[in-house]
Amino acid sequence: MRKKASVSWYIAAVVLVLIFLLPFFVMIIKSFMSEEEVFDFPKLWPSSIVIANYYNKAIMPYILTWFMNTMIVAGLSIVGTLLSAFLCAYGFSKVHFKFKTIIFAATMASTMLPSITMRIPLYMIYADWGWLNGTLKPLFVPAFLGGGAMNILLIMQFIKGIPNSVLESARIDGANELRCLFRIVLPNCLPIALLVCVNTFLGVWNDYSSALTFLRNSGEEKWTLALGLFELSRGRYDDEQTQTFFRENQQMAIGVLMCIPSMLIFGIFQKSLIEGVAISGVKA
Amino acid sequence: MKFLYKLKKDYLGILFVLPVIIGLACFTFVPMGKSLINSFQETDYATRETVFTFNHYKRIFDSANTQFTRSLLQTLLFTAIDIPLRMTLSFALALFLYKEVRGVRLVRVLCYVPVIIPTVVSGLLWKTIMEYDVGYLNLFLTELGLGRLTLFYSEKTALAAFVFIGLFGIGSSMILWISQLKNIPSTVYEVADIEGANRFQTLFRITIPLCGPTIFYVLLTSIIGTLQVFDLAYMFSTPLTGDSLNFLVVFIYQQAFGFFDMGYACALSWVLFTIIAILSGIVFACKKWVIYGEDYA
Repeated sequence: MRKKASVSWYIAAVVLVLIFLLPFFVMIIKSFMSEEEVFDFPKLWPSSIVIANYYNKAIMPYILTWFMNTMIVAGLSIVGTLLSAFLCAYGFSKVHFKFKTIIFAATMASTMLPSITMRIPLYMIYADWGWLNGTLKPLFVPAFLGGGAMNILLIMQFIKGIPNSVLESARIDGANELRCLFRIVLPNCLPIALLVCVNTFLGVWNDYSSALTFLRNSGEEKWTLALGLFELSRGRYDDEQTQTFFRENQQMAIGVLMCIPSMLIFGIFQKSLIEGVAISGVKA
Repeated sequence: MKFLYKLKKDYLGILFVLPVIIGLACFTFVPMGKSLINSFQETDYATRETVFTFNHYKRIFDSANTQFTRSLLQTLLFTAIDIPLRMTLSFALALFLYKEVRGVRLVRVLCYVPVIIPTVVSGLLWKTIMEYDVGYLNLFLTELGLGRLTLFYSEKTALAAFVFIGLFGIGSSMILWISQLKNIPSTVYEVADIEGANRFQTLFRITIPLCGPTIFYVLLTSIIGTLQVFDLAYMFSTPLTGDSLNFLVVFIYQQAFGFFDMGYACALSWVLFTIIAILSGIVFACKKWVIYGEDYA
């Protein structure tokens, strides 16, 4: 049993946690308030728990569409990232070929480039390709082609832990390189594969600037959840009942809904997530 | 046959990394090149001709161009305030939470939760809390008799409010510090204790210097990241906040997708890239001040 800390430490820790989680609690509380209470003078606690916010018929179809879109992008991105990042990481660490150093250096350098510099010409390129009208392609296709240099680096760290002798004996036994990858390396790299999945999912779920740039012309049906919530907060969907720009209780409700998958994933995988952050230094 | 074999040996690996080569080419290097070219072009919408011109860059460096200068200054100001603040606070937090006592793991996870909240939700949430009239923060302050803060309703205070919100995300840096702190062998502390060092001396002469690699890494990534802040700033930018949240990337975004002045936006983004590169270079040059010894991969 690890030792206990002093009482004052625990008090400080509780205060700390309360401070950090306070906004989150506010969000939950407000999401249960009814229409009047939100703008009524400050109620700290809703007098009646209104779940209706979560079921608003006008908004729900949109939310579901956006949710589906986000899941599609997330699913495809995860598949693409896993495939291409593993292929590339394996290629960089265990296979020797010419130009490896140059290509590797280029990959590393690409992590340092500011994304806005690429986003503007990408917008123009996608416009030429017809990817800007009603398609989610700009959001997931890059995942299939390289899957993020950070992921490649992360997986490479892991693959280095696999002793070369295992691979050599496999080659002697007649396995070609692909077999080496899928039968030997991959099963041993399951923890890191999981981490890459989780990171990719969270990245797609939270991402809003790519969606903002590339989906703006596509109309509401193609938005992701993040983008949809953002546009909602700008008051495009207020109906006749309210003269105000936003209906806070509803936005809070949608916000809570949007947090749930992130929280779930985080709750389940938090140990490996936090370890992964420590290894790679990448924010979730 | 032998030639084929040699071919395979030398170049098979390229097949493996083909996805990343194509990806880098298509989605990174070609756009960068196109961006550079575009920054030197100006399209006449009437005749649809493109001319080679330095106009965009001239416009940026024109002393009368207050918009860009103001945006640049705001970004640099924000970076100068935010980075030291975040590094210090996350380090302090890590110092508080790195010892393995009962319950500390839970506290660490809970402190990391705000990092997981999607940016959009976070922005929405803080907009609500910091609302001038009925937001909880101001109501709380009024109850205490302290009056209201203008926060995002005034140009002067918007930046401070924005920095405050950013501080809730120090969980991720905290994790890095904690893993670095755990790597310091306890014998070092024991020796310091025996030699009679008090807590301040231990902190400033031993702990912090031994965290050198992480300091370097966090500083570098923070500079690169903070200079490019966009998501939350774009959400909070309203006419009321004026220019105070108009950081460089927000400004570039507006030029590109608000005014569709692509050439100007491309030129601006290359200027941003240069600034980032210079600052990163400076940090790299100072590397030997914080990283001692041989291998700190």
